[in-house]
Amino acid sequence: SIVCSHHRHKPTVGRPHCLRRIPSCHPTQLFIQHRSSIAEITRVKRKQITMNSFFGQKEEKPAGPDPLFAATTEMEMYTHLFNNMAAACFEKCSSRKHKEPDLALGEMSCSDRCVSKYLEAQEKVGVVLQKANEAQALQQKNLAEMQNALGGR
Amino acid sequence: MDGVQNLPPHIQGQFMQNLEQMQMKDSLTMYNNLVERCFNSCVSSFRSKSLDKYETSCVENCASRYIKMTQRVGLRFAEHQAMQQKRAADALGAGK
Repeated sequence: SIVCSHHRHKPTVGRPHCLRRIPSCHPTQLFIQHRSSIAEITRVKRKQITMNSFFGQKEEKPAGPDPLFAATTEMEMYTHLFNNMAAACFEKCSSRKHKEPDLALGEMSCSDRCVSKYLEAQEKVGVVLQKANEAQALQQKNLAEMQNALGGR
Repeated sequence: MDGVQNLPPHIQGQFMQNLEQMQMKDSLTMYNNLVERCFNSCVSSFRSKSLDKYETSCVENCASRYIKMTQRVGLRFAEHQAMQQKRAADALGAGK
């Protein structure tokens, strides 16, 4: 039988006692009880994911004159993304009262959804920015061409 | 994968060093932000010099919840990135 480490009940035969009354001892919570391993995975994955390409599916990779700068900038971008995402999801998903040291089940599922929505929003904003950049570049090119044409006369 | 793997080895070493420095700075920044956030959220009266019992427990809970949420967010983020990478790799493989 699964023992819930958050509450000092004695384990009973059969169904884990925690499931009956206390929401913070839902199986999901029990699954992620091993926070040290999670922290380790997160640390490792944080290092791994910062190695990923920045632009994903959309744009070309920054071939750049200085690859060290490009890689550093890419990683800084991921760091900012992660920090902002964690802050935003904490602000939106956890209650202000802070009565308990653990996250409630609702808060956990809220944070999962918050992450996926945040990343989706990031993609969409990226697309909009890219289009705006292209439009601006086109506009500048037209302006330069016009100036050249006028200067040539 | 392309960002770092394309770098030549001696620059890769330098990059790793930069990475460590940035991680250290980032953890300090996170610490400061966390303190500010929990203070703003939990402390509202200034009748005495030290935190009372409620404020102490609130601050401690706030910190531990933020850390747990950060871990969970990191996990989901990593999953998302892995899925995205897999999709990109599949698309690349299908295109060839």
